[in-house]
Parts: sequence; structure tokens; C-alpha cells
Amino acid sequence: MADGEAGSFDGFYLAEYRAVVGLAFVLTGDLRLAEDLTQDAFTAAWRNWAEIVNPSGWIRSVVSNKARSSWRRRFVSQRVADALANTAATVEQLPDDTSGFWEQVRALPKRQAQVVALFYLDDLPVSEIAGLLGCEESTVRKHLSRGRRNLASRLGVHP
Amino acid sequence: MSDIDTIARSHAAATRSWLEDLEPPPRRMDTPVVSGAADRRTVHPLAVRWSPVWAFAAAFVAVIAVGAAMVALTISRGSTDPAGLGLRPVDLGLGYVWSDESGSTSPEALGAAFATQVLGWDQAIVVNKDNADPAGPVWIQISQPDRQPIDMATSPDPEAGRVSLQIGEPSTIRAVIPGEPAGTRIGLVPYPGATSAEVTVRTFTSDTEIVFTADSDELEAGYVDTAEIPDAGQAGTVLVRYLDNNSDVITATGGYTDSPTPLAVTIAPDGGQTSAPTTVPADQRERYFMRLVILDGVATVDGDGVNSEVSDIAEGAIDARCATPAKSPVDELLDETEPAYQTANRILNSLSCDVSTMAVTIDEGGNATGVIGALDSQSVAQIQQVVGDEIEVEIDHADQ
Repeated sequence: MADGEAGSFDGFYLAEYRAVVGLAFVLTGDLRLAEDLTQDAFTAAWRNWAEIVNPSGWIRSVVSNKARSSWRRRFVSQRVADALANTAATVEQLPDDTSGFWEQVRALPKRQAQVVALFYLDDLPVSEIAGLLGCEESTVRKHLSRGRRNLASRLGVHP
Repeated sequence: MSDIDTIARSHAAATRSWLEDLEPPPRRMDTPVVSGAADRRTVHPLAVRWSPVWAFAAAFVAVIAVGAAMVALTISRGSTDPAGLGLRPVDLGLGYVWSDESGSTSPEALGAAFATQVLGWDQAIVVNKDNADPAGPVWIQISQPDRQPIDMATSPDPEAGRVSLQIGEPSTIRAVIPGEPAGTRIGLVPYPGATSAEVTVRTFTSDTEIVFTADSDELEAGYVDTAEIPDAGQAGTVLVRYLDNNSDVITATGGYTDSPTPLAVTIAPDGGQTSAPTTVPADQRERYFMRLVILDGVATVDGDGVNSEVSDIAEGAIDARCATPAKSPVDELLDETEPAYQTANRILNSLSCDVSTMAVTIDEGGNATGVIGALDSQSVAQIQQVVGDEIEVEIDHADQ
């Protein structure tokens, strides 16, 4: 890979890292796991850098799909826990009420949780979410609507 | 009281603020810390033995892709259950779906072994559907009380004894994001009573299998995505086991494709003409598993009575198959020395079809290697731009 491409990738990495970790975190509830999934995704992006047309969409799609794999989540959680057992956390805990909110998001059906996270945390428009999830905009709206309704019911608030 | 939209935006803002404290670590280069794909898969060391598939199988397989010698694999099974569903892991073949390690040679024995080992059915009854000659390809049906009968296409194989070429209606495979290696989407069927599905995929580039679970939400949607196969074109063999609430298998589907490269599609732009072809980008179409149709009960070694076609059962898919070709098998019409679009034109002119859409697969040199008749919506849209009403297609926009 040429130096210019490496530099371009580094810029992409620094610009997107926090947002991608955030997406992975709200979908997994585990910061260590989220960081690991994010590094996996960036590594994959590095390997495929020349072919990726929309890096921001690509990496969110990869992370959100990785975060959905429960069997993988189990495996990676255990591995990361083993590997980092003695590593102190470097960031403060997320406020309890916000943490609780994302916990309710994760309890939604997977596709609804993905759409809610991408819509609110990443502030992506429906059209972009549809593009990166590979589905119709109407499908995204359906999941978003159902997600909001389910969340409101779970949280006891106005839909 | 705040509404859910306001609450969600507030928590999202708090989360973004919290993330500002997170310092990006040095990025990994090309060696991920994650311990590797093998850990995520059912690992089975392979003793690979290269061999041409027997003439019967080749007669089928050649219809949609021709060329490289096919690979038969001897597989030693791992014992893990990566999906955690209590199912026995399944070792899939390349160039076929499944074989019995003990080397079952009769169609009925293969079906019985599949029922026991893969489906977990202990009262299965296996019949040769058409009393076809077991010297050739044979459709069998596996049934068990309270379960949905499964049709399976089997074929003799000199190495494995007998192999399964198709199980039920095969799933579809496509890229999650067309044109980008972001993951693979496997088509699912919401069978009544199914509450989840375990999907096993074997890729061309790996000697291990990828196993993941689709939940009821994904069953309802008609597909499941996996990031574990970034390039959908690398998925070679797929088996889906549909499960009920007790994690018992209620039915299964499986298929394979024998070309690791996404197939480019060239459409004859105008019947009889040889103008420049319209090529549909390979990454914008779904890949199709071969679907076998044995037209009569006596499938013989020279292929008489055997035809094949490809089809797609995915949600909202388009089925534009050539249903009644005048000659059988179709691949007799292939001429690998001519440009693909000429082949497509010639086939269109020589076949009598209920549906006259035709596409051919091409090799790197642009020559025809196979014929397909089922196209995705983007392909059909491009065809229609070129040929307008001259191409007849059947379009099923179910649940789009």
C-alpha cells in the first residue's frame, strides 16, 4: 500500500474511531469488546482499503453486523476478559441512565437496535442507514418506528 | 413528559460526549489481535484430494460454471457447537453439499445418514422419489412424522461414494452492500414453526466453516447478514437448518456453487444481433445456487432426461427462468470459443422457452461458461433498458 493511502487511512481511523467504538458499544454493552470489534473492523478496512468506496458506511456496516453475532460476542468477550483482566479502564463509566437507555435498545430485535443506534448515535439519515444495511428506506423507517414504539413502552414514556 | 425521540437524542448526545474521552489507540496493521477466524469456526483439518467429479455430477455442474477441475474434500469433523444450539456440526463439501463420512453409496443410505447426523431425525423414512436408476443422479425424499419432508438431489461420486447436490430449495447469497466487501447476506425462508435457523457456510478460501444463528426477526425479514464472510463471492456451500422452539430441526435447505468468482452476466442485447453486450457488474447481482430438475425417472449417464436450471426464492426476487428448453442439457449449446453475448444470442434463437430471458456466465476471457435464467432486480432493470419489451420476464415483487 502506498504511503499516501496509508496516510489517508490513518486520517480515516482517527476521524472515525470514537464514533465506531460508540456504535459497537451501544450494540454490545461492553466497551472492551466494542474496542476489539472496532479494531477488527479497521483492520479489515485496511486490507480492503483500495476497494472501499464509502469507508464511513462500510465500517459501520461491518461493526454493526459483528456486534450482532451473539456467538461471536460470547467468544470475544471471554477472550478479551482473559487478555485484559489486569488492565484498568481508561475512561469513566457512562452515566447510569444513559447506560440503561442503551441496554433497552439492545433488548430490541436486532435490526431495530441497529437502526436506532445508527439513527440517534450516529445521527445518520434514513437513506444512509438503508444504504449501509443494504435494505430499502421504507424498511429502515419501519424498524425505526417499531424501535421507538418498543423503547417507549419499555421506558414508560410517550412514544 | 419527554417523548422517546427527545430522550433518545439526549442519551445519544451524552454518549457522544462520553466518547470524546476515548483516545484512539495505535491502530492495528495487518495482523489483528483477535485470535483468528479459526477460533470462530468449526475447525476441521482437511486432507485434500483433488479429483474430477464424476461425469454425472459434471454434467449438472457444468451448466452454470465450467472450467477448473473440481475439488472433493475429505473432512474430519470437529466436535464444537459454535452456534450453541445443541446441533451436531456439519462438514460441508466443495462442489457438493454434503457426504456421509462412512461412504454411503445408495441414495437411500445417504438420505438416512443425513437424517440422523444432520437433522437429528430418528424415525426418518427415505424414498427414491422417481424410482430412478441409482447409477445416476437421483432425487430422494426424507420424511419424519411432524416434520416437513425434505427433497434431496444426490449423485454418485467416485471419492465420497454418494453426495448431496441440493437440499430442498437452496438459499441465496449476495453482498450486503453491492460493490463492497462488507459482508454476506444469506436468504432465509420463514417456514411455519421455525423460530431460528442455524446457517453453516463453507467458503472457497478456507478449510473451516462459518456457523451463525438467525433469529426470528431475521427469519421474518427473509435473510441474515454475516460480516464473517466479507466477500460474498467466496461463499461456496451453504446449509441452513431451521429450528423450532426446542431447537429441533424441522427442515433444512442447502446448495452449493462451484465458482469462487462472482459471476459476471452478459445479456444478449437483441436477439440475433451481435452488438456489444451489456454487462451487469458481478457485485450487483445475487449469486444463485444450482437447482436441479430431473425431468424423468431414468437419469442416464449421458444426461438424457436431465435438465438443470437455477432459481431464486429470495424475498422480492425475480424468477425469469427458461422453463422449457427444447434441448437438454442446455450446456450442449455452449461454445467456449465464442464471445458470451454471441452465445446468449444463439441460445435465445435456438431454444423454445416459456420465458425468453437468458444470460450466460463468462470466464476471464469473456467466453461463455454457463447459462442462467434467473436475475436480480438490478440486472433485469438493465436488461429492460437495453431490450425493452423484447425480453419477457416474470417479476415477483413479493413483500418489497
